[in-house]
Amino acid sequence: MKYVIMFTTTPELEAAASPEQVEQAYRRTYDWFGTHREVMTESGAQLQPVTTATTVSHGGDEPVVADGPFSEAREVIGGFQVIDVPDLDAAIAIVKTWPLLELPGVAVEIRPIVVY
Amino acid sequence: MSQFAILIYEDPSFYETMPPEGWATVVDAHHTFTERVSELGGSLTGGGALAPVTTATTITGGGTVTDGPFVRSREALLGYYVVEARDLEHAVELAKLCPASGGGVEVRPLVDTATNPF
Amino acid sequence: MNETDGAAAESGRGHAAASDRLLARVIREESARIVAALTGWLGSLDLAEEAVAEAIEEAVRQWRTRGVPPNPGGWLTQAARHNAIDRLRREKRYREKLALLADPADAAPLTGEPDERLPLLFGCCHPAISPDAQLALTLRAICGLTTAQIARATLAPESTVAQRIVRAKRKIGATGIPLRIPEGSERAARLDIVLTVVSVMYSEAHLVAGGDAAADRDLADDAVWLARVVAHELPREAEAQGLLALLLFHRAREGARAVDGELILLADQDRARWDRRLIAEAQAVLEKAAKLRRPGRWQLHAAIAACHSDTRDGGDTDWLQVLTLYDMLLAYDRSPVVRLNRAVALAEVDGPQAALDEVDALGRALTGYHLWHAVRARMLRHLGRRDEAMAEDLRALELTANDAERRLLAARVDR
Repeated sequence: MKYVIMFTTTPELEAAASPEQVEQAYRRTYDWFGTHREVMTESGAQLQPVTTATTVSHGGDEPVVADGPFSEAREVIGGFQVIDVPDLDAAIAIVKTWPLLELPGVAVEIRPIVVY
Repeated sequence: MSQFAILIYEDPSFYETMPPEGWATVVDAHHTFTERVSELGGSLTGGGALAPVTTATTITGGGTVTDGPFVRSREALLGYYVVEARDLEHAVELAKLCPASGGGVEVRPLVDTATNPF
Repeated sequence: MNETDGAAAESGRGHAAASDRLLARVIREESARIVAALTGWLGSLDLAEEAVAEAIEEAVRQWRTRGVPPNPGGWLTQAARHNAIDRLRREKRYREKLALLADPADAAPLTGEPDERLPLLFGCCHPAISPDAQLALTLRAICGLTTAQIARATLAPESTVAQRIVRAKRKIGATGIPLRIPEGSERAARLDIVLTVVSVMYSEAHLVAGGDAAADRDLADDAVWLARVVAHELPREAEAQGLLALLLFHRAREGARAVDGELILLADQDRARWDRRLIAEAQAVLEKAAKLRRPGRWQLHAAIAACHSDTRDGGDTDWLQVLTLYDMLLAYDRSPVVRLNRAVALAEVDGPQAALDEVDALGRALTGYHLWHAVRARMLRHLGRRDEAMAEDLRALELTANDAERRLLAARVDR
């Protein structure tokens, strides 16, 4: 089954960690992708910080372009990756080892990908 | 050319309340979008539709598993595209054509993994 | 373990009307096995569970007046299969789907290995399902309760319960939650969720708003039954034995805890009303758990219950031992409710002031929980601070929904 795993952070909470701790954790994410190479599909993206976001909202006659993220939620998406594993338990087992989970305000959301 | 993610945020109820024939229209709109992107000089390198937010599972620090999404907002991330565009302006031009009637889209540049080892 | 044969005989070979208690026993013995087998056959828990639930509703209606048929499992299986095919027919592509189904005659026997219930139970209690939904789905798919029964037992509107169940089932299907017993390092944490659901099932039975103390015995009975199934199927899991022992100790005191609809506190209970046979069984189960040499919170809870069960009256409780066990329990479970219970033991060992300090330290977490106010009132009364004690008792009374608990607290306020 294919799942998208979304790497999310809460910037205001993550700020509580020391820069060394953050850098150390981020460094290990590189190894993490290597360790789980077999389950990684080609689909995935690491996003620039949310401060680089531009939003296009619909609803009116013309789409409206604005600076900033679409969602006003405190939690922001930092990247995502599509993995191919047998079931949700396999996805959870891999996600539990995501190095950034040691940092405050970090979480990973797992959702199945729709196959048409 | 640079890579950008187009994150599609929509109100989940928009699709939940949609009649079955509405789905065909949505699929057509996405098909048209992919055609328009190449006509306008961009190219799609990835994309996916996510299952509804009700299928979300969140893992937080310490490996705690809970039901539901981590990002709690009225509009949820329901799909994404990864496009190659000349620059942000070009990416936004393409993003304006991306179907997201139940909300909108967010454009974010991608980290170039070739120059950034993370 | 198999109570069905006896149940059918008890009902007069299926001709006499069946009591609710008998129906509950027959249905819960069959429910999970049929759901598990149909899920394998149909490839969908959602559909299988729906079909079985419908069959159970039919069975409850018919059997209540006409009695339980000689082979209730076969009856339910046939009815559930019938319902499933009916549901598939209503779908557009039913012919393709029906063609995919194996001939039931060739399919794995529906009364196969007893352990097929456990993988289903672990699926229902998956951490990716919310705790409320874990309980509702377990009550329905494993114990065979109807939506209306679950709503009554858990104090939730029927529509909410129905929605929780549908969402949970769909999530299991849509997100690929496997129906299996986890192995290795995941096992302990996942088993603890299962045991928590069973324990909540037992305690919910005693907290029915507006109900009497003895009301809704069924859910407690279901919880003990399920604890037995888990302990029996996982004989090497010490904590599964621990939870069974705990529930048996509590069950044994049931007759003394609720007398004529009134709640009696442990200290005041008439020990002659305790079920000695259940206490002996609980002790044996707890000893079996201890031999596995894998301590845990459920065994400690059971050990504390065992201390109380050893008493001849409220006055000879070995509080130092109880307190020691609570201290050990804190290593596994530092939840405010456990610390509140520990404070009660602390009062007996170190006096009411030490206990009150501890209770006050829990105020932030437990203000608004009726038992916190009740325990605080008790400490204040022992310290001679009567007015404050009265105020806390009144607050506890306001917060209590259960009639018997209300009367118990009201009696204190009147004093």
